[in-house]
Amino acid sequence: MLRVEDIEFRYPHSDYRLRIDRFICESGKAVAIVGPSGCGKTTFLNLTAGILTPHSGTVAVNDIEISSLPPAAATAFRLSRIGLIFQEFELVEHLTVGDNILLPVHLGLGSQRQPIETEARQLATRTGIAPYWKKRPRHLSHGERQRVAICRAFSTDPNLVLADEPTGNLDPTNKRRILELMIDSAREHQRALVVATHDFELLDAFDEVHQFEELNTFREASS
Amino acid sequence: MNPAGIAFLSWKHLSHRPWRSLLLVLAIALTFSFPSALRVFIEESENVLRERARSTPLLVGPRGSSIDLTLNSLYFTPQELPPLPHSAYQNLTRGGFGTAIPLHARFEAQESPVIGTSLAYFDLRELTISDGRMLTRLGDCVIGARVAAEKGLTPGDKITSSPENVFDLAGVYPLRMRIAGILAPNHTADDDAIFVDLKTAWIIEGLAHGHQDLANPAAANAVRSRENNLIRANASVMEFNEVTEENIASFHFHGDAGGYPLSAAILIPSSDKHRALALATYQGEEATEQIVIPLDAVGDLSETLFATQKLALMAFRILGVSALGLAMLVFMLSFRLRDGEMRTYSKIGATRLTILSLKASEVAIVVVSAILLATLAVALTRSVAADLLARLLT
Repeated sequence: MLRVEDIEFRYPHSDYRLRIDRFICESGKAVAIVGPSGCGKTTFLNLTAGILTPHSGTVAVNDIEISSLPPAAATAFRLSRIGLIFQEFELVEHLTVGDNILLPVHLGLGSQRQPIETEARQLATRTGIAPYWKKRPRHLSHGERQRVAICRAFSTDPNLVLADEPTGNLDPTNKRRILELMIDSAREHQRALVVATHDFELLDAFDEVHQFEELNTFREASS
Repeated sequence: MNPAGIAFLSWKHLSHRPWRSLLLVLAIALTFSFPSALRVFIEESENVLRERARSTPLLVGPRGSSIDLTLNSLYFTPQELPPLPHSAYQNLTRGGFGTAIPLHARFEAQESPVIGTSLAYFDLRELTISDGRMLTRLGDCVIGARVAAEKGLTPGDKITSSPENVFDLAGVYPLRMRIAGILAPNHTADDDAIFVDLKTAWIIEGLAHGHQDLANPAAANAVRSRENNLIRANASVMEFNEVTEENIASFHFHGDAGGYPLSAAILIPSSDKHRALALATYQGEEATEQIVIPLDAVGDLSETLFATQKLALMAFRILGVSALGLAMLVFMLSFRLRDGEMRTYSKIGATRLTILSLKASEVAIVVVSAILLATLAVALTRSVAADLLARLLT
């Protein structure tokens, strides 16, 4: 479960302010956050992942307050317990698809290689990218690259998956297929899934949908 | 942190840009190995030079540079000094100081030095025949192991001496020599040389020759005039460019044998007393030849080498620092270009220590590979130093 309470954040040298009073995503639930580009969805995901640290407030995953963990511990927690799907995929061009998916293993989860690799290969088969396992990302289409990013996020069996526009570059058929795969996986493995999107066609698949402007109370107060 | 994973990711990046990585490894290896290799080469060269000098008790040769005389006699470097007349060698022999071994190192055959000497030289250098047999007659040669290997020569083959000057039509004629045997390798300049009897060297010099018998009716066309027992030949007389069993008797010398040239003579004194006498005889102001203790000459050469080495090492240190600086710059630029990749690792969950280890491991792989390569290069230098020195000097 993801619990966000009373967090405040601002970038240095910027007028942008963010304040979230309360946001909950239960385990096994899929929550969508919608809003126009630049409204702060990615910042919110970075705060919940522990990539950014809020100035105040609490971010907790399965009751572990990552916002109060030392940086190294928060990073280690993210590696093992949080799956991330980035807007720009962020695949490493000199690694094969397989090695990109297994990046968490190479970066610190070496002792869990066997179960992670088994899960990763199953996911690759289900998302249709298994034939590209040994290819480099440059040989893949946008949609295929995105599926690689999704496999990477799910292969570590995380408690929380944060996805930033995960279906942005997929065709309509694949969009729904991939989203359903993510949601089914979250429900099946009791993962909390938070998706930032502006793809309104798919919102019916989520358990909850939040308008980001409504979540960010600071902006409301200022406006 | 997963050290195996870190090493794997570093290796993947290095192998993704193999030429850049190889260039870095080579540049660093060269920086590490060159000063050590130079030091090893000079140390080994000094040892090899001293060893050969130690087995050559004394040298008698024309006056001039003692180092030139030593290098010419020990390593058959091109002769820079005037010739030593044969009469001087005869005087040395008659002096009764010990065993004198003549050396004639002036000519080449297929770029290998042709050394005219006596059989005593082979005993001095402990040279043995590995294939074929020793010199038995005029026109025979025995060749060093490397000459045989590189030119693919075997006993029974022929090798022709090279004229000193292709336009010197009236001068030295090439002599086709019969290879009697191949010497066992001894990893000195002897491996690169072709040994002939001193008289064979003089044939190459043009001091002796063989031609068709003018008294024979078959040579009538070559006779210009006959007066009593004196037969004068014209230019059509056929000269032999090879000594065979059939024509060996026709070879004869012209001129004063005392003036025939040698390069030097090795003197093996019978005793310390004879050594002292020989040194005293040739060290006087009036002596027309010089006597050299090769070990002393090599010592002088070593001092020069040592001074050169110091200068070279100083230059290499400056170059080395520049090369290492450039290598560091390449790494820094590479890491800067990979900022995005590192940020991705960090976002996924790599700690600062992991990122730092990733960078350090990449540098370590390159540096360790370079050190291994440098160690190999230094070991290789040590093993080939003797052969390389012989090759450089001849």
